[in-house]
Amino acid sequence: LIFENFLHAADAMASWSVVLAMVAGILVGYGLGSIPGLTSSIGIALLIPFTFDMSAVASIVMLVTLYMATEYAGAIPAILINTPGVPAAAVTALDGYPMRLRGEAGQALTMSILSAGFASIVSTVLLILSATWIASFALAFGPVEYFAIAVLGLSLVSSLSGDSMLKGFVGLGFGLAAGVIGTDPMDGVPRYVFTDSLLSGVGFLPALIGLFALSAVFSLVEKSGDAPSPLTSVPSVSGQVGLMRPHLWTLIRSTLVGFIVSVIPGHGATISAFVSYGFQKRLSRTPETFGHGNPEGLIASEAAANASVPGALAPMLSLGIPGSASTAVLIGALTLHGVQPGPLLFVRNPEIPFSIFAAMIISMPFMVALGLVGIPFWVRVTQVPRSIIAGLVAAMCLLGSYASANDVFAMWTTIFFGVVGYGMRKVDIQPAPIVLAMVLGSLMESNYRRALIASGGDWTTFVTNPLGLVCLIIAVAVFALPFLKRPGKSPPHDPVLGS
Amino acid sequence: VRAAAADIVAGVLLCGVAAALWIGAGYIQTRTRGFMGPVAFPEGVALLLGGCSLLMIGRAAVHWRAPERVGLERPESVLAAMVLVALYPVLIEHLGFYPATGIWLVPLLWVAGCRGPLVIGGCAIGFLVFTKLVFEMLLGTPLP
Repeated sequence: LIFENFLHAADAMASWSVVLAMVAGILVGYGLGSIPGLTSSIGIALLIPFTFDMSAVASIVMLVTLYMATEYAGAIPAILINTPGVPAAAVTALDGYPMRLRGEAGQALTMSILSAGFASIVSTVLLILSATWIASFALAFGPVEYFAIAVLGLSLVSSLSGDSMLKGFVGLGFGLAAGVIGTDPMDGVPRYVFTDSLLSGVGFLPALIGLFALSAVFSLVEKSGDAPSPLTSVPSVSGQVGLMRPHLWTLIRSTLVGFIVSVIPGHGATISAFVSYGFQKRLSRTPETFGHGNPEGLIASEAAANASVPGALAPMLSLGIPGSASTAVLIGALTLHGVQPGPLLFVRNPEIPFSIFAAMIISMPFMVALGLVGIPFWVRVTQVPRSIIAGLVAAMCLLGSYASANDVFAMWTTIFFGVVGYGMRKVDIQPAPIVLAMVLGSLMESNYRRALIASGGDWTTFVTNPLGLVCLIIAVAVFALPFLKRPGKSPPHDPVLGS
Repeated sequence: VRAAAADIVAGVLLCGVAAALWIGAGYIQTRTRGFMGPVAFPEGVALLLGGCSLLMIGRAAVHWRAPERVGLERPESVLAAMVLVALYPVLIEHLGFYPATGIWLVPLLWVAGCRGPLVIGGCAIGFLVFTKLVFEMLLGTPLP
């Protein structure tokens, strides 16, 4: 069946528009990842308006390849100027930058791209196996199971909330509040609709662009006085595969760690990279060299961060639950093309998930080649002043928002969420829980009401269903565990990773 | 700004959102009341948001003397950027996309810290050419 679905995907992908979309995704992803401050979720949100005229397959292929390329390219400024292009690359910088200071920049860049390439291919194979299995299992799910899964997804918000779980829940509440605006999903009555433009709810894409991209513009304006760290020479990259031979087990181990960690909804590239780095350090015979240019540390973080991209796609494709902030944005993109992620996606539109799998495997050699050959260009990109990036991204945000609905009201939505998102970042309320709640809120509400209607208002329906009960118990445990830590016991302090 | 003070301000504003959500739920016109109706979920969300915001305020008050601070660099530039961004939809409705964007991008780039007139002009013209070629001609997006 998998082979048959790949044939469907090959049929859907056999067009120049898909190939061009793939190349564009990789190029834009490299550009965005090389610029500190612009993450994959910002990139995907900004690129969605360009996909309105494309087929669903071409647009999702472009956005997924952009996601992969951005996660890799974040390592370039991390290694060269000690400024991570994406948050996960902060772990790469721990050993990558000291290697550059030792004059081994070319070696560090080669190792990082080869690790990324290997991890992406292996974890894509794992994604194909796991997503198809989970989806076939989830086909039997009813409203109770979906409600329980949505609650579980929301409870995992604690891992997306920065330092404070409470603030994660505040963000979650705000996202759910934004999600209830519009026509009620079951009865069709309007809720909190003070203008006709809100009848279909708060525009998901304008809100995303505001929360991720426009709020980042204000942060860039704030920091635009800081010039990018100067780079005096462009390193040469060898592309020597032999460099990886002594680190093969590290590579395999970190890929598996990165994939497994990121399959848990809410655990994106950053957590995967930190877990893998810490794990590798614990296994190392020379842990004291970590943070001082140990290639094992660089490989552990890069392999895990890049393995997390397919990992985060597994719950998104098979259950419709975003595994990371970027996959939450991808769900928005798919929905705009009339495609609903979840188990039925594998039955109704198998060409979509299988095009994603195929694109991830096909694009990887191009991505590696482009990474190795294009280093002199990406190095220049890291030096673009923040002021120029801020101005142009702001213009793109508003233009993209307008294009999403051909309505000026969408711009107001983006501006509102941009200002709110910036303010919330200041008090350490991250945008990811807000977006997660906007995605899962309506799924949770509609299935909760469907389950109650089906059971004639009997509440025990939520605890008599075995799978639903397991999900709800895990959700409660995820919520309660941080409060059950023994008093007075703080986590050990690592001199490199912190607490 | 003291981090605790920022938390309190944010908490109060979010409490206001929760209160508005709760009050607004009373105005939803439906015959289906109770847990199966369209009112219960927004009310539950209002309780969650309000409760968490109150906890945030309480925690900030308890940790009032904590040394953490919220950094705010170049506040006048950020505020100016916000005002300019808010002006853009108004300009677009009155002038149309191309004149509005051209007029708007120049001060925005300046506020963002760009000082070279050639760079500012180049970026503004480059963006307009890009939107014409990509959005209007390639993607067929009708611009206002």
